[in-house]
Amino acid sequence: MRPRLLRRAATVVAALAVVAGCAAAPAGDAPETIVFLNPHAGAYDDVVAEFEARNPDIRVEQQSVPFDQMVSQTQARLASGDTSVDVVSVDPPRLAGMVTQGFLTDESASADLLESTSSQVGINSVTVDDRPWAYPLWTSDAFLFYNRDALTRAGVPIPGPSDADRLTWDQVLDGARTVAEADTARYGFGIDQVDRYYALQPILESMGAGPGLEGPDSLTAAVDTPEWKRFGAWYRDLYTDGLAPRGVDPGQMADLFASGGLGFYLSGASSITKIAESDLAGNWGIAPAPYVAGGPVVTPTDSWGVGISAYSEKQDAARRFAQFMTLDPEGVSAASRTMNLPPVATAAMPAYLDHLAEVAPAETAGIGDLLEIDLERHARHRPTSVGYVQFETTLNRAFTDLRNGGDVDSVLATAQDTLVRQLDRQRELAGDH
Amino acid sequence: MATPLREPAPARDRTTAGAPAPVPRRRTSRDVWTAALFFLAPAVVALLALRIIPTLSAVETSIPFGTDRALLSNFTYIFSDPDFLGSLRVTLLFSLVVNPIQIGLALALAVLLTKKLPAVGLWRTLILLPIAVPQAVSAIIWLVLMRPDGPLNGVANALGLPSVPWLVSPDVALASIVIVCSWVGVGYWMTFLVTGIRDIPTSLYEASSIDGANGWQQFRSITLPGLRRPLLFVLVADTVSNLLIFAPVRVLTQGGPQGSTNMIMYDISERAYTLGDTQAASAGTLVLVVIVVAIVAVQFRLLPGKD
Repeated sequence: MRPRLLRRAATVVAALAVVAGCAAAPAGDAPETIVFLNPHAGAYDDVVAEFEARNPDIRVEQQSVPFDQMVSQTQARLASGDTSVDVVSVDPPRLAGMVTQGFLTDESASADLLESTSSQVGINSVTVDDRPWAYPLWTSDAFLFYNRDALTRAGVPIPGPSDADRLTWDQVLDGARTVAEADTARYGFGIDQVDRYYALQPILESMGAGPGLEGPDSLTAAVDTPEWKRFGAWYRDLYTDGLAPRGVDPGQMADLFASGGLGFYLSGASSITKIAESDLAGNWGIAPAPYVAGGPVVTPTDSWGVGISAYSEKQDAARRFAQFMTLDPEGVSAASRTMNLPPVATAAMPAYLDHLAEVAPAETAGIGDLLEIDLERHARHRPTSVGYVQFETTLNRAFTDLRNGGDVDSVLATAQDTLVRQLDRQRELAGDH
Repeated sequence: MATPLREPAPARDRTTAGAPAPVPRRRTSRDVWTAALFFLAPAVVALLALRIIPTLSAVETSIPFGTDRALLSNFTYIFSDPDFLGSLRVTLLFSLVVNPIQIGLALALAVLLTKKLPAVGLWRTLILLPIAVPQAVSAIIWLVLMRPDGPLNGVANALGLPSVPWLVSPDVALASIVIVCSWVGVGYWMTFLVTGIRDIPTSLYEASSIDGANGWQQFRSITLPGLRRPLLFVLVADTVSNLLIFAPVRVLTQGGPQGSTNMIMYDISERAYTLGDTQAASAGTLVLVVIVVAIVAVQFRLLPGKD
């Protein structure tokens, strides 16, 4: 009985070994697998499929983590020298910190290639110490989305789509108040990236405030100036007045607008597909991002790129994938379809606009011109600093405290003290190297 | 049924082997050592890999060897940082509030559920159910429940009560974390106390009833003294686990509003994984280890000996 059982088991094992061997056999060698760590689940499926079809010797495994955990995942894994990450998503303002910590490879060898395919603004966003350390994939812009039905029923005029029609914040908030009073939407106004510096920096700077980090290396904090306090009161009142929803995090804002819960909605192009496919279809529109009366028009810019881990043992394969996805027009188009963000590679722009026209033809008719004007005239980068992560973390927390009704002076004073301490600490630690 | 006596049964060897010759004794002793090594090895390896080595590594990281800075500079830094001091204060306040609440409720429920209640199995299942839900998942459920326009405030408003700023007010947020942690913790600690109550001989209750003792007198004179051992275990284990609370803070408040829920574990994790300051994080970890060891040492002194 027993020997027979053993023999059967041996047969099964041998059969499995043959099958396993067959699976790997056709290509001779098994494809090399590279790991791509990113915060955008599902966004890169098309570009990965396209890349694998063209490069049968490389397989790309995606590890998508929640947006909020991207910094901690990158920090935890690359700081410990984890070799299992090959390609990693990079947010441009965090690049300097990643370079200082030795997380990324120097991509100077590809500088000419970058010059010939990407916009200068995009290249600048991945440059530290005059050398490129990543490949820029997308840029970004903010728009004022509106719920046509909610505005019309409340008697609020529909904003125009072009740069010349740009509303001031006072006009937008007056309209939002009218919508809320008429109860044609639950809230008058909402911001997609609630409490995030990326979304609020343009409003701050339009109010005449500085970016918050100053000095030659952007390592001096200045977030308790009178202009910052003016902004703080403005932002806090949005929520204490009930004009905008409290306690709804960025992941739920697009759904709130798409379900008719907001009159106006400040968001980026990444929301377009979700809204176009929702019940709100045909009942919404896009206008330019507002500005503060008497101040400059300021719009956000930059978005995610990809870098190659300095600890990767498959850097050549990783580089081929990174370059396909960011520099090859077809790769860029495939990578931009799901997130709907405008590509940095200039040759991929027409395909991007065509795609938007397919998703929401009427609503996005003027978006190409608006993007061009915003990127050329109004776009303001976030500060480039080795202390950016500290800066952003502290400020995002301060914005949350303001939204929750905290005292403006004390919240900003605490943020300023925290930043001064953390940036000092950053300098102290840098002295060790 | 259940006896408090736990004397070991007399070893059979002692009576049967008499006085064995030196050689077999050595062999027996070697066998015992081999067996002991075999059974202890996994635990020792795990202890080394998961506890001792990480602690030594934290010591090494927290001391800036090979730099111009003072050896204790990372400790000086965290003890001069209001955020870290705030996290110590919040953790202490949280512990002072949450432990008595959890242990008191667990004890009350344990006493209640060992009485002859109708559908006692159902109640016990309902109370134990939160343990089966991962901490992060239950925190996400509470996040939705406690939103300013969420279901809890919806119910409150429907009853004519005002909305509660569960997670958005610095005065209320820590209390909300206490509620979320207790929702999971009470049922868990209750199981130990239910077992403890079942270990108390029923004859004691019967005898006291005959003597005319009421429920409260029975609780004070029989249940509480009988529960001393499991209660002290629950006290130590609950205190330690509440010092190490992380997931509810990460999901519900991220330490806010205004640092009111910034507990020490969250503070350390932020330093290490968001700010990339592993040196300060390691120093914070060692401070936490010292606090936990000190508290446990004090509580162990309270543990009964061989009674």
